[in-house]
Amino acid sequence: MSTGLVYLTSGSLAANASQLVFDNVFSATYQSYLIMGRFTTTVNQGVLARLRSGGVDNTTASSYRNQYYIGNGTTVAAQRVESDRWDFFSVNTAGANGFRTVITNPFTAKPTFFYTENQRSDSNIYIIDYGSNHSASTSFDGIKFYTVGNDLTGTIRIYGFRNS
Amino acid sequence: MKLLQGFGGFAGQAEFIPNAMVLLNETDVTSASTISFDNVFSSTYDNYLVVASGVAVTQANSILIRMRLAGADNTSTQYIRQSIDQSGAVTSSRGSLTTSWTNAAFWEASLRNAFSITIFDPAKASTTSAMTRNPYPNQNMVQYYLSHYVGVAYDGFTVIAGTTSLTGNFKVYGLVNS
Repeated sequence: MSTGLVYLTSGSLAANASQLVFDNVFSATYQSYLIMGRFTTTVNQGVLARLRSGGVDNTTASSYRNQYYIGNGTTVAAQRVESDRWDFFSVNTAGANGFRTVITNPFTAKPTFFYTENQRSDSNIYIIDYGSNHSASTSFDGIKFYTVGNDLTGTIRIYGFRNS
Repeated sequence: MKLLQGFGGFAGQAEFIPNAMVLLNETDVTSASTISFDNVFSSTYDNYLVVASGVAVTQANSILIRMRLAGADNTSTQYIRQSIDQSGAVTSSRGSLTTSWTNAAFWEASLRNAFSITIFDPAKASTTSAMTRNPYPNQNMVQYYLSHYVGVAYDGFTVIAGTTSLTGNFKVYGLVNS
């Protein structure tokens, strides 16, 4: 009996925390990873992310590319952004927020890309989906999630998809 | 040697890697209009994946889902749905608040339908949320993000096929917390 999905690590934030760092989580063992998170907050805000190598954030300008769309009631809007960090998911003060992401090639020396499905709020749900990449052909072993607005409470879990 | 094992595996081998996704329930359904899954959610797992495959229905119909505790469905008007519908070049969005997660899927007659749904925190006394994507057999795509915020810890759920009768296979998986 074998498994296709392997638990790797998790991290939690208590109230008033603003960042969650995972180092040495990406490796040559897995090409793709599942990341799942669940958060509450007292501040409506986007949660940002940067890839890391050797304990250092990559901050290359315009290397992080986001294309995303938002469904809210009967309105759908979309946007494309290039920056020195990703918009990874978004949280709202109205209840629980969740996301699931498949990220591919973070450790491989090729561009990294991911797809995130993000449910923001539980009483006034927003659908926010991100299709994103990092343009550099760089090997990264970690990722940092952080906020500007502070106060994020919840857990992120990371799983690896077996290559073979 | 690297062993990848689920429950009942061989802890004590040179390298033991536990299964991160555990099959909790598999049910084959034949000609049913309602399917209930009891005692599948527990404090062991926060998040779950439900996969329905090979689903045949007698007539095209929207599928409803309700959360369940101790053998009874919760029918309060606290099921919220936000959806984005994509049909060719047309995209539309809508939301609703009803007594079930309406249109959690739409299954077409005479085809083998399928869908998967990820459910967050159903066994916690807090909001339950879910995400699903449903590729319509007529090539439309609909995604639903769902929440149910009564603050009840549920142990199961019900799939309601309405006026149609369905046959297929359902699997419920738990994603390990650590």
